[in-house]
Amino acid sequence: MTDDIDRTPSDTEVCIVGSGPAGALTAYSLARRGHDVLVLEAGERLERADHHRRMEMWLRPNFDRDAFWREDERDAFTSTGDIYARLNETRLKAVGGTSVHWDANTPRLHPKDFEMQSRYGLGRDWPISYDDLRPYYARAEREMGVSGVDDNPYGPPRTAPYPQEGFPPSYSDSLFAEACDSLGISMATQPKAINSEPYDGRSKCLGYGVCNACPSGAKYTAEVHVRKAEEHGARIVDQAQVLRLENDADGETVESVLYATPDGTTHRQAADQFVLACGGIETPRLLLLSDSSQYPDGLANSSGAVGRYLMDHPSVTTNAVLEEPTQQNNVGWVSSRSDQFYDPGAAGPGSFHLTFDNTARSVSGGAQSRKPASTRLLGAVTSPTLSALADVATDPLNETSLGDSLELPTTDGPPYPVSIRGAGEMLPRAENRVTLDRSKTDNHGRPVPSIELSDGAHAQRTMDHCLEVQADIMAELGAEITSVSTLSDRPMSTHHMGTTRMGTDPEASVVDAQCRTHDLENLWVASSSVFPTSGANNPTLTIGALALKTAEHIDETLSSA
Amino acid sequence: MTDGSQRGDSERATAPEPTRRQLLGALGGAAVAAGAYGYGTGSREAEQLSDSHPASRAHVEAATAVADAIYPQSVAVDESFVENAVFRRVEPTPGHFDALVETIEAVERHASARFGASVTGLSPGTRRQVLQSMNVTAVHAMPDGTTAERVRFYLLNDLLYALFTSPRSRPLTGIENPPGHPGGLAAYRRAPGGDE
Amino acid sequence: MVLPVQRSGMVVSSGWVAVGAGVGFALTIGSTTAAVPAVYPAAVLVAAAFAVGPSVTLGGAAGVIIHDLFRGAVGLWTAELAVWMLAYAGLVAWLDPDRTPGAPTWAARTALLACLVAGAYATATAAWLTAVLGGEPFYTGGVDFLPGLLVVVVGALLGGRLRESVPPLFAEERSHTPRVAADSAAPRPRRFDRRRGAALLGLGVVGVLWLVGAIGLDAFAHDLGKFGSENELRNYAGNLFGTGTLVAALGVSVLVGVYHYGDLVVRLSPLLVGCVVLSLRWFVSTRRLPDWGAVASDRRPTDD
Repeated sequence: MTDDIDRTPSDTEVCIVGSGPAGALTAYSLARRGHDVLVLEAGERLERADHHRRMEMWLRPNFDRDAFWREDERDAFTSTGDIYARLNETRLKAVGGTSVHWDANTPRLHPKDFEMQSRYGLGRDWPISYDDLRPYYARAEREMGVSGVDDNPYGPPRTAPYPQEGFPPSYSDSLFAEACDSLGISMATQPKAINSEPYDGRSKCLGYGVCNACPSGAKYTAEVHVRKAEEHGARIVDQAQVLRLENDADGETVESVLYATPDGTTHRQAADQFVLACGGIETPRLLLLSDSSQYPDGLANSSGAVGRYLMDHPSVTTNAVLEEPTQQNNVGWVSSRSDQFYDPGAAGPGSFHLTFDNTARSVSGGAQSRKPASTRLLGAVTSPTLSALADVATDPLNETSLGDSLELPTTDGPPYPVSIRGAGEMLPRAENRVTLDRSKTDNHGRPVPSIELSDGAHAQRTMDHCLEVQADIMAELGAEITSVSTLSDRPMSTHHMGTTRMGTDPEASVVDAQCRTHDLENLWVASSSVFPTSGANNPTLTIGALALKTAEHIDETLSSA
Repeated sequence: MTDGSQRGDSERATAPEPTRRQLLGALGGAAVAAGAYGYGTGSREAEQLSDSHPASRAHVEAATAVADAIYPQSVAVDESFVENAVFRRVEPTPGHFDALVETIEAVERHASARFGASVTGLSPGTRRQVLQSMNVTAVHAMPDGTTAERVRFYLLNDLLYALFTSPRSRPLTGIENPPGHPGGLAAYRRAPGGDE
Repeated sequence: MVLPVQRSGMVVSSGWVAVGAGVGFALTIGSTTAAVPAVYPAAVLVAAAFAVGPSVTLGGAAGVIIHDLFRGAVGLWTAELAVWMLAYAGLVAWLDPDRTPGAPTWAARTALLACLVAGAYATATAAWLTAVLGGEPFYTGGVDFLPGLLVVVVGALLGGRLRESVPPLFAEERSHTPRVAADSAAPRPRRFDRRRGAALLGLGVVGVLWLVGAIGLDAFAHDLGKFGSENELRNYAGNLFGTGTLVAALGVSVLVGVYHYGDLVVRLSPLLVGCVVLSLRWFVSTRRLPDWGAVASDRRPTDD
């Protein structure tokens, strides 16, 4: 890893904090236009071989799959709401950000997501429309290398062709297709930022089946645009932890950011324009930590909206079994989806999409881990059957069998596993928020983010409906449901939105339609934190589209200066 | 040393120390000689896999022998598979291959001491016994634990990782293109009952 | 000339040592060829101590060591086995040093008790040593020796019966730290002494508790070690016990305690056990119950 690079400040026009898809696409877009760009990333840069290592760590139960990037002291947090905010299991700090381990699902939001207030009297409207964003969606798809097929009768309108042909449906999709057809539920190809053919100098998908740690490079990560930005002269500094932003005496511009490097020194980096691209939790946190006499409630927070209106995507899954083989785990991604229930005719139940799993029933583990003897003993004591007691007596230490009795988890049957997942929208509520927990500090003595999140009635109704639909499909398929994951006791999803939301009203929003903060003329936000509504689709393509659009606005600002 | 005298004799043996010391000295001397002899005949092929790799051909052979014992009979094992999937893969963490080599040697020494031969010279059943007698099957895999725990973490689990990320594990898992194997995009579309 | 008898001296016979070494070496070769766990030949050699004295076990341990040296494969398994044998036979001899051919046998009950007591301590010691030296955890080492204990018990009962009929082939030599004795007398016939038995029992309870307790604690601590952090453990415990009740709080505290300190307690257990034994001994001596010395030998000092 990069321990010997120069991490001291340099002359730059644009300083971007965070190198995930938002930061990397912004950096690339501006560097390509000839601007001096500096990106400060708190995490480390991974090498190609590191992705092979990560894949092995992902597959082996005795390795920490997040060892490459997780630092619990630096990233300490507090979770206070009903939903457990498992922040560091999902949000990744590294060059490339969370896209280093994402699943690369890239659907667009739907037009209705931009007009919730006008159409349904729910949530609020975006200050831009789907049509405003369309050209940027198309560009983001080209930049990320999205593969797809325009076969979604309920998908958002598009004219641009997909940059790459989509992956054909899986065998298990064909099992669902009959059932869905009978129920009048349309299935469509899942758009993904995964190469179906060699693209942009990267390999096509080789079928490793571990998308979260793809070693082939076929899955897009923001490392692609970090490299491209560097090719155009941008400077990316890893292991640079931004501590706070500093504004001028008038409170109209940001003057510099203060950042710390691994050797313990802190530096001050000035720039003309600043972009915060640290994700939906860290971006508001950084603003709250950057309070000053001009901004006692946090930088750019004269609205009080910084940190508020946090949304994630509630999801539910129905697992079932069939008597016939289902061919799971031959590939790692989702090939089919359904948007049949995305655009409800009236206000409620709300939007959700379905995806049909190709990886029902995990096959990690088996003889790699020995089941503890204590739990088996506990089981024998609490429910003492003859066989349980005999087991404990003959094999007290619960030894693992080798050779012909070797056990590996299997998708073999009968019965064979299938599963359907659904993710839906959550309405923005002021009480779902990110604040500072001053009783706990990170590795630099700064208060950690405190995350309070709970599902509201709308999310619950929406996902109840989703579960009903999933049950209907399974029944039609003739599959026996074995387990259902519901919203109760659920953890926070990987999508964190809404905490520095866009809007036209400076008293109710943090950034404007260009994603520039209302309060400071040279501070911009590129992140899902600007979403006024969550929609019911994975946010990353939208993050990318907005980043490309914001970069254009920054370019205009710099060029006119 | 006195001869077998009856209890109650007034005469007792004199000067026990020199005799015992002599005896122990004799034992020690014999032991050292035997040890030297043992080490002398214990040298093996030391052809390294590469300049930077800590493993040698002998380690690969030993690991293959262990794989043959721990995999079910329905799974074919050959040295090139073990060499490529285990020894020539990207090292997951620094020092992993050093530890792997160390654990292979620990198994070899135990096999030699308690089962009379290197693992390559034992039957698969006896090789499993070697692992069981080291209690590898009764401990949790720990990279920094006791020898038994390290053998499980490094040698055993590396071989199992090689197995379950290879299509060879299909008889066990029912998966044609398992996670971890770049087997392409034909399998996920194929109806069941395709090539076995 | 009078050679003084130490009250708890050990009897070593060079001849039996040599025999033990040879038999030990041969049996170990046999067990390696037949793929039989080495604890069995070791147990046979320990059992032989009941017939002919601890010298044979000392030799046997040497035989095992020589065998492993011969193979070029000395490891912790060598030390574990040797320590077990030596500790076992040594403890048996300490409990009664006069393990000589021709001497009266113990009553079966006492022999059995001595077997189990010495076996518990020897097994715990060997398992502890292997754990501390990093070979394998205490609980696996401990469990491995349990079949050996059984063999010794059977062998001890047999060997005890044989002892009287075995001629004294080799002369015994006393421990090499002579002490002055008052006088000598002819050895008294052995008889079962209730008080000695009770003291032995007390010692045995401590030993068995040590072995069984440490095995259980160690296994449990290792199982809990699978949790990556205390927080994960607390979550699991929360699900197991619920929250808010005294039982839950206690349960969680116990789990967290074992998680952090279980291994340490097992490593320090010999110290703990030593303290307990010494306290018991003090307790016993202040209450005029038979001292361990009386357990070891009820002879009066001899003279010539």
